[in-house]
Amino acid sequence: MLEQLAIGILNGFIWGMIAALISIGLTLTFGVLRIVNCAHGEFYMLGALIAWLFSLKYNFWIALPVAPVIVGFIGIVIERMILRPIEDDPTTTLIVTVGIMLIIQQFALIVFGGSPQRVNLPIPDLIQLFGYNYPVYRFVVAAIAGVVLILLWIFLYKTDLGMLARASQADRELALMMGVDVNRVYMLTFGIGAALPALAGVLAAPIVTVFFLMGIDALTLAFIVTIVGGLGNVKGTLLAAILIGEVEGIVSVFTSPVIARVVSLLILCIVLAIKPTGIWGES
Amino acid sequence: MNSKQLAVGIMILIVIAAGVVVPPYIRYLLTEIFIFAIFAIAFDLLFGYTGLLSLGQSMFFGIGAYGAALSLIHFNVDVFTAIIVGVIVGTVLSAGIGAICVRMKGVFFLILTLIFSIILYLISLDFVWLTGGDDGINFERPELNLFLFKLSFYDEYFRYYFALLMFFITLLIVYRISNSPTGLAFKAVRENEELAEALGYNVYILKLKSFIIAGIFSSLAGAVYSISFGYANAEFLSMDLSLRVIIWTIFGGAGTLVGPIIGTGILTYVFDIVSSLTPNHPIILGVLLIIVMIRFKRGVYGILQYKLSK
Repeated sequence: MLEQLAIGILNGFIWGMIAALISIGLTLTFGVLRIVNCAHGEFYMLGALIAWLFSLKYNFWIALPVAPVIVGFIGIVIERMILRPIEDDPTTTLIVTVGIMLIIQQFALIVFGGSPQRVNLPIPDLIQLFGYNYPVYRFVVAAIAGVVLILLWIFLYKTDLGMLARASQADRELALMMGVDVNRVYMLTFGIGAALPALAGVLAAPIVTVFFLMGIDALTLAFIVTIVGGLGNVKGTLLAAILIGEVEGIVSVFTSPVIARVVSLLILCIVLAIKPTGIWGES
Repeated sequence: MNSKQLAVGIMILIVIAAGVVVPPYIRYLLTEIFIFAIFAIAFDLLFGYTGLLSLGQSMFFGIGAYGAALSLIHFNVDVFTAIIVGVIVGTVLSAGIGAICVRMKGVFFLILTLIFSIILYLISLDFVWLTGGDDGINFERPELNLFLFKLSFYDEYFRYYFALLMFFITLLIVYRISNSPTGLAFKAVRENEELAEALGYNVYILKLKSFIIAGIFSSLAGAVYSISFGYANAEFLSMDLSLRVIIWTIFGGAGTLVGPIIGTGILTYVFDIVSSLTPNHPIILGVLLIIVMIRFKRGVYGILQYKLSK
């Protein structure tokens, strides 16, 4: 029992790191562009599908840098072509992104087929842990996610471009007045916001079932995490991702993943009842 | 005003006569359209009049459908009681979920309704013993003896006129609500929440009222649908249906009651054709969502009204 719980906590942490990558992409997009992107889960799905494709044809590890670049580029195209003219209206953009979500899903269905796929572990080694054979790959996932999150932190807080992004987030008009090229910042942010879930998708591919509808699940998770953490708040989102990951990991030990998701929803409701802006959100 | 009444009268006569005249396929489609129109009218009260865009309205449609179907299967009630049970379950659920969602402003309301509906959908897929999972449940609908008449939902004429009756009742009630002081207060909330609050309206209660009324008629539509056609499945709770009702309403003209009915009629027919042509029909839904939201927000009826008033 205790061993199971320990594995649940470990799984929860690793899943929390993946959830953090997905959710921080969503929260960045919302924070800077004020767009609630419902197609966000599809970027994750595309990442996982690209990983599946590469693991079949070439090598899984090539997908790791390639998928975020491809999907990030797709994100930039979507932002420029479809979302740019309606960016000021959050409700309209939200519904339009739902339309984009449906199109990407069906596109994936046509190109990759509808049957669920499994991706072989790229590192087949297992280690003995609490009486279980635990795949080493999952530790690598947590490490890569950690490195990416640190790089993102350096980008946001130590580089000029990151500073501009934060400035646009804090006050878009003022940023415009100070001569910030807000359009370029938007494009870049949306690109990064699409690349992060794609990376998460690649990392998660050998752990989960790859399927053209898997994005919905990621989207629900990302929404719960970002609202608990405070939509638009990067630090809050990171902490909330680990929290929700742990809760779902531990609850999944005892019941099914769906019940675990219901428990996260309950947490979300409680948080909203106490503090509608999220735990770490500004009031 | 008189010509308007005349037009309404003629329309009523046409749909009543249509039940007998049209071929079976069209009768089936029209039955479906009337039921979906109940759903669209409910959604229009919530979105068009109160300005609350729910991204998960199908959860109440689905709950109504499952409530009616399961009470029929497990408690041996008659078909009308089953529909009433479906509506009651939907009402209770909408009061509970509404109390939480309506607290949230703007996009947060949308996201929260979306999360609730996705999770209900996941539950319906997971609890196979109750809901039949992906395949859903098919069930028998017992005949009902009312005085000398034998009423059966296997009879396509009865099915048609029952859906039509429910549609008229819903339209009448929601029309009355939308023109009542409460309905005007809904509009005030839509136009300017802060101002409505400053005028002494309890915005939270108004929004909740609107949410519950929409929940009642959405679950009515779901219950009538499942009883009419004898099945309920997870699709009824899916995001797909929530999106359809949004597109029906906005395409027809939100906040007009007539518009959503037109939108439902046209688009249900279009989707029916498209889905028989290609399995990838959600693409059409996606493209329509984008085009309508960017270029066509006033809707068919809204544009018609605008052109006529000039």
